[in-house]
Amino acid sequence: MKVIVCDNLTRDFDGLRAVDGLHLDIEQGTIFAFLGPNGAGKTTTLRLLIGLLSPTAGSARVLGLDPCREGEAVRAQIGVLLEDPGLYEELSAHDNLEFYGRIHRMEGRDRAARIHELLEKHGLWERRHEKVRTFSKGMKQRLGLARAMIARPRILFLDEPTGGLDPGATRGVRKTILDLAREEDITVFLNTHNLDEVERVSTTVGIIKRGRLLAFGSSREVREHASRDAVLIRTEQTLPPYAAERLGDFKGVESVTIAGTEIRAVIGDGTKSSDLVRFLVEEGVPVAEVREDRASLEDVFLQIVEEES
Amino acid sequence: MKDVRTIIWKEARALISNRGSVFLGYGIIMFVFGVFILIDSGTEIASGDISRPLMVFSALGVVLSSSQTARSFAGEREAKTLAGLLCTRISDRDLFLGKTSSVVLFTSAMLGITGVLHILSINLVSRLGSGTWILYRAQPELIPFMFLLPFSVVCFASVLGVLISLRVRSPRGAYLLNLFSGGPALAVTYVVVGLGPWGRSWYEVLAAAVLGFGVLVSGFSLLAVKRFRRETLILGG
Repeated sequence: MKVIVCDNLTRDFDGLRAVDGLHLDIEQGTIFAFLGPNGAGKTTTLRLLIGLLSPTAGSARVLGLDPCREGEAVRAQIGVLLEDPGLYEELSAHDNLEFYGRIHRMEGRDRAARIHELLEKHGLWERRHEKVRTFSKGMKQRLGLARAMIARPRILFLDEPTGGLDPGATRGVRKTILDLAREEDITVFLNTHNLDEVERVSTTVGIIKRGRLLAFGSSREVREHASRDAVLIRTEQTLPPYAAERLGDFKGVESVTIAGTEIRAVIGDGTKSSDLVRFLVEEGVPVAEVREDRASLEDVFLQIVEEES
Repeated sequence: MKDVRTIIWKEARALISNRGSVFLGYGIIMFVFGVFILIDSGTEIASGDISRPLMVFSALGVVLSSSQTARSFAGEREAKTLAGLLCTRISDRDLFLGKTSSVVLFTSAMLGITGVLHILSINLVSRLGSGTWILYRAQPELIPFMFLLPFSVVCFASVLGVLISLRVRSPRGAYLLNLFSGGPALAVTYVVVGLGPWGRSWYEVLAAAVLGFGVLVSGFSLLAVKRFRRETLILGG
C-alpha cells in the first residue's frame, strides 16, 4: 500500500522553484531517506506533505488524504520531528508528552501508559519530572522522537533528526528510529544530508537537488543505476609516467586515479579488469592485488549532484 | 473546546513552572496598581465615584495582558516550539482561542487578586485612620463593573495582542506593539468613565461600554481566526 504519493508536486517562493515537479511513491513500512544538499527542497517537500504549505502545482496524497485540504486529518495520523525538537524547555519531559498526548486527544489511561512506555524506551523515565532545559541535546532529540511517537503515528516525518548531535547521540537516535520502524511498523520519511545515516537506516533513497528528484530506489539500486564499475589495482612498484599515460588512453577506461602504487580505474561496459592487469604486466609492472571497487552512496550522491550541476 | 482547554492547561503549567519569577514580576505591578495608586481613592469609591479605579484597573489589564499575549505566538516562535505545535492536528481556531483564553484567564485572575488587595488595603488604611471600614456601600449595583469593564478591556487587548503576536517575530516587539494597541481600549474607557455619564445613569453607560467591547472582541476574534494562516506562521512572516 502506498502511503505517500506525490504527483508533479511543485512549490514556488517568490519566483524561486523550491520543489519542481516531484513524483514519489512510498510504500507502507519503508524507511525512506530523502537525500540532498542544503536548500535542495527537502524541508519544503516535508512541509507540503504534512499540510503546512500548499503546492503551487501538482498534488500529494498522504495516507490517501490531501494534506492541503485535509491537513488536520493527515496530521492526526503522523508524527513529526524537526531538526530543532521545539520542546517546551520550562516544562518537564512528562508534561511535554502529556501536552502532546492531550492535543492528540488520547484517553487519560492510554495516554499515561504510552508516556510511561516511551519515556522508558528512550531512557528518560528517571528524569521525567525534570525541566527539559536541563537535558543534553541528545536527550532532547530522543524526547522529541518520543513526542512524535506519542499518538502511535502511521508515518513518522523526521527533518535532519541527527543534525548537530555528537556521534554517541547520533547513534542513539538512529537506533531509536530503526527500533521504532521495526516494533511499531511505521513508515519513516527521513530528510537528511547525512550519507552515513542513509546507508545505515534507510530501505529506500531519493536524491533531490534544486527541487528535482534525481534518483529513487533502494540504496543498492541507486548505486547500481548511477555508478560505473571501477577496479582498484595495487602494484608492487610505482607506475612509470609513460605507462600511466597509456593506461589513461586504454580502450574502455573512462578515468584513472593514481596514488603511489594504487591505481583506481573507472571502466566502461565491455572492458574487464583482467585486460588492465594484462596491460600492466606487459608494461613490466608487477601487480600485487586486484579488486572491484564499488562506489559508496557518497560517491553516487556526489556523482549525481555534480552531473546535475 | 477540548483543545482550547489543553492549550490553557499547557500555559498554566508553564506559569506554575516559573511561578517564582512570574509572581515576583507581576507582584510588583499588582502592588503598584492595587495599593499604591489607589490608596487615596478609597473614600471616593465609597461615595460613588468609581472612575479612577476603573481607569486604573483597565490600564492594569492592558499592562498584564500585553506581556502575556507577546509570549503567545511570538514567544513560541522565538523558543522554536511553534513549528512543532503547528505540525499537530490542532485546528487553527482552537489554537487561536486557546492562546487568547489563556491570556484572558491569567489576566483576569491577576486583576481579581489586585482587586482584593485594593479592597483590603483601603479598608485597612481607613480603619487605621478614621476607625471605620469602607465597604463600597454607596452604589452596590456598580461594583460588578469594577471587574466587568477592565475584563472587557482585557479581552479586547488580548484578542488584538494575539493577533499582533501572530505577525511579529520577537516577544519584545510584540510586547511594545501590544502596549500601543491597548491605547484605543484605554481611550474608549477614558471617554466612558472620564467624560460620562452624559445625563444617563452610570449603570446604563457602563453596561453599554461592556456590550460594545463584547461586540468588538467577537468581531476581532472572527477576523483573527479567518486570517489565521499556518503557512505564514511556519515561514516566519
